[in-house]
Amino acid sequence: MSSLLDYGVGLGLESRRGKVERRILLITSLSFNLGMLIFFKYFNFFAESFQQAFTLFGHPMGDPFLLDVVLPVGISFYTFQTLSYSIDVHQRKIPACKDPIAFFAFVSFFPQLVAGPIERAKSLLPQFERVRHFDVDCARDGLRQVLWGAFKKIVIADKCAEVVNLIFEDPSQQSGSALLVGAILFSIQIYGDFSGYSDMALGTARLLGFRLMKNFAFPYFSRDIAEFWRRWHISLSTWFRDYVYIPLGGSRGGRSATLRNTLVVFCVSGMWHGANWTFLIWGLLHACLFLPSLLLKRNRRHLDSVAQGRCLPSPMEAWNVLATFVAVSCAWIFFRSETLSDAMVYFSGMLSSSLFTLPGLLSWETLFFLTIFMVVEWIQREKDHGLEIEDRKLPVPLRWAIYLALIAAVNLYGGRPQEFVYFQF
Amino acid sequence: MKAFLLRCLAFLGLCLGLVLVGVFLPTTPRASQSLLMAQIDKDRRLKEVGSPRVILLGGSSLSFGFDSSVIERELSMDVVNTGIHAGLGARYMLESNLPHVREGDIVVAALEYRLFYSDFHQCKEQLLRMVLDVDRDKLQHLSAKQWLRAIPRVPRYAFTKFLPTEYVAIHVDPFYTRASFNGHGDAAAHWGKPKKNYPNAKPFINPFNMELLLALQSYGEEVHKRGATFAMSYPGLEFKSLEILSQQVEEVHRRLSDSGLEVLGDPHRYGFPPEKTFNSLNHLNHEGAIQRSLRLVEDLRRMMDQVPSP
Repeated sequence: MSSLLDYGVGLGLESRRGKVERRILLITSLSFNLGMLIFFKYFNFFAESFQQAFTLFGHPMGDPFLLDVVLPVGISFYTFQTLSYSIDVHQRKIPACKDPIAFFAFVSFFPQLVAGPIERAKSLLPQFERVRHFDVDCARDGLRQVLWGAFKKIVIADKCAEVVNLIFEDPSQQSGSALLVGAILFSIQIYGDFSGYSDMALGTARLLGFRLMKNFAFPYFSRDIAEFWRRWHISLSTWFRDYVYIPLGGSRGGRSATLRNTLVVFCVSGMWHGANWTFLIWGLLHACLFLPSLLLKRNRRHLDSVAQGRCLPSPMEAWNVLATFVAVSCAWIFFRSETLSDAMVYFSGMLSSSLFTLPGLLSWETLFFLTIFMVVEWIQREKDHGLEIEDRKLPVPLRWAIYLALIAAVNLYGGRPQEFVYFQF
Repeated sequence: MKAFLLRCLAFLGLCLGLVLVGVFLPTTPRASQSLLMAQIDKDRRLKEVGSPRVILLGGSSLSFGFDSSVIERELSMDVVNTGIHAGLGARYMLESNLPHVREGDIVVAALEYRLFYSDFHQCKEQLLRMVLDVDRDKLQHLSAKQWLRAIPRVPRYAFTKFLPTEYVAIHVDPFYTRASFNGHGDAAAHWGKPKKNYPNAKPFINPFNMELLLALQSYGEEVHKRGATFAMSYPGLEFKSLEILSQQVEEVHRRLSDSGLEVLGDPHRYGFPPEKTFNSLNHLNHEGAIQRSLRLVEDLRRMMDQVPSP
């Protein structure tokens, strides 16, 4: 439905010159797409929140009418993808796509349909329209990226998930140190899970001759929150920058406007993940961490990679990376908790005296793979993905040994299979 | 492109070769100590113990759920507890057990609730190891569907053969080895050991599997043809989990009762307080195992009073 409507809207925008007509077409596309998203994703949340608000102000209501519908897989991703198309055509940044097959393939391109990267029509659509030739280097690198993605998802994320699920199921029963381990492992889990999916999507697309946008750039080696957001879920961050932050005025309207626009972007970004106050607080928390550097114009200090051209970071860099990781991990606690009160229980438990006890939850096996993972990510931090190898630097037997080791690790040490975290969004 | 494809094929060939080597390598020392190896002892006991006898059929809730000597003493009949692991699946349990059933036997199946809500033709790692590590003759008990489900698990199985930890510095859980079982087939190594923490049950996602019910009916008919008695019982389950699974437990009870099968007691008779469990919601400690055994004895006596012997 979304594809059909946006295809028609695109053609309509192309053929009409009247400003009002074009605006009506754009509003139709926005209303329909966002309407679908709100209906499926946020209806119950708003109905319940209204009921609670009325009750709070002394006007108790009966049980709200709730929908019992299944959330279409990937709705948040493809909705944003088609929206960007309509907006770009409206702004005449790109021409409307006349080939329906290319357009429908752009919306439903299987590697990235359910969890991104959220592609722009400007970069992906032309790839469907031109003749592609098999590129051996591309295919080889794509396969490596798929393998590294599978390792991140199956060995790292799923293994962490086993411990994380146990801890988050009932945080009140856990010691402070276990909760700390849980928070750190969830940070690793969500990164391994989501960037693993992205790697598999990018790799599969490359195998087919398509180049999708990079979605992650080793975000846990960021030296501040601004850098983190340039490296985490890049396709969504840039989407919000281009279609929300800049249209709202960006940083052009003085400090108060910048503050407002940034808050809006982070709140919307939080709510994009799901209809829950925890996501909103997660977004707000990131806004609070990000705003000082933005207002002090220190948000673009770190545009290169940490310790670029060196093996190890300086003590200051290491401290900044650690501090950013700790801040991000604290915010993830809200993201992972079912309710705000669960998150508060988690924080109060974590900051209790039992923080200084031994957690005893991690197996040596998990620690071993986490270490390998972090070392590889560190070494490869200036590359596109963890398994980007220059063929001439490594002989075939060594390369094959690496592939075999990863395949064996995926087969032998994978955690209990878990659904991708971002499938629910 | 041709060179690339050839190289891919060569790499796949190498992987396949390694998998084949792994499959045909002998059982590793670690696997030789696994609880699955208890199947050999249980099969031997099924062959050696004379009828009439009580044969208990199920997964680990059975091996960790009875003290067969209590049943033996109360009913004056030999008991063979064939329970090993629910991961072996109901189909395998029924298929591999049937050839041993003889005239006068009483077969009591107490299958884990989740088996009623999972794939009847499942082939989890335990079953794959059973047919490849323990007894390759048991390959005949696998259905075509099970073969298909086994294929994705073969690489993992094969790769384990190359792990050093399979041969040196072997670590096995003392409660899950061949030596954990006593002569009757009860897991007894944990008796007297302190309780461990474990998560509560989660309601099953899949719908009730009618295929298992039909298989139980046809198994019952086969058992009757052999002059033996077949009855269904229920696994021991910790109270909280029994409450969480109440809808599905009730459904199992209702469907079994309506199926025409002999059903012993009801699920709530086999609910246990946490202090009578060990390391899982359906693994009982010795005290719990004795209590469950006595309840089964009561149920069996009731049945034997009602049903004339075949």
